[in-house]
Amino acid sequence: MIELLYIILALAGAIFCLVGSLGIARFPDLYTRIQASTLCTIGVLWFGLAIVFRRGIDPLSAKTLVVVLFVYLTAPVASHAIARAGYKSGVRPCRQNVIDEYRGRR
Amino acid sequence: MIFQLVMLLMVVAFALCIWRLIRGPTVADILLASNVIWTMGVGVVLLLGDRYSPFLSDTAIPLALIAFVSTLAVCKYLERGRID
Repeated sequence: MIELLYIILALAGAIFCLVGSLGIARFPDLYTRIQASTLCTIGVLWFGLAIVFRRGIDPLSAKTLVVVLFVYLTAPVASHAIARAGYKSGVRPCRQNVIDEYRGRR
Repeated sequence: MIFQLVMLLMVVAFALCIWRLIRGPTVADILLASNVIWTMGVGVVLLLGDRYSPFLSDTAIPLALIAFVSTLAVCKYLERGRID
């Protein structure tokens, strides 16, 4: 049962990372790519949960949870900083974009 | 068996991100691809540490730290032209 849970969670993490990377490789724009990069972070969460369910209560699973929590705290900050730096350095949205509310306000 | 399948899928994911890293039109795209590669590297190191040796899991903490700090530093440089 636990082994089945490990298999499901690890496969889900790998598929999430794969789909996120596919979005990063194929999307037309910096900002849509940032949106796809969120999926890779969720994949890391599934990996950590798989390890925790396989190990049970253990020092290694505690360490894994701490690392996953750190990644979860820092990934949105990094994505926000990348989007802001990209906009300030002159990256514009793609042609299909409808509205750009950040244009007027410096 | 399932571990090898997961690692194969992760290799494909890393290859797609490295393609964007080489191909990216602007510096921000390269930065984003690098950040995602670091994040997925943390996940892979966690899985390897679970499977092979617990000492590998210690490596994941500095990896996550270096990813965050280096991304923020390059973002500051890109935004203002200097780091302070």
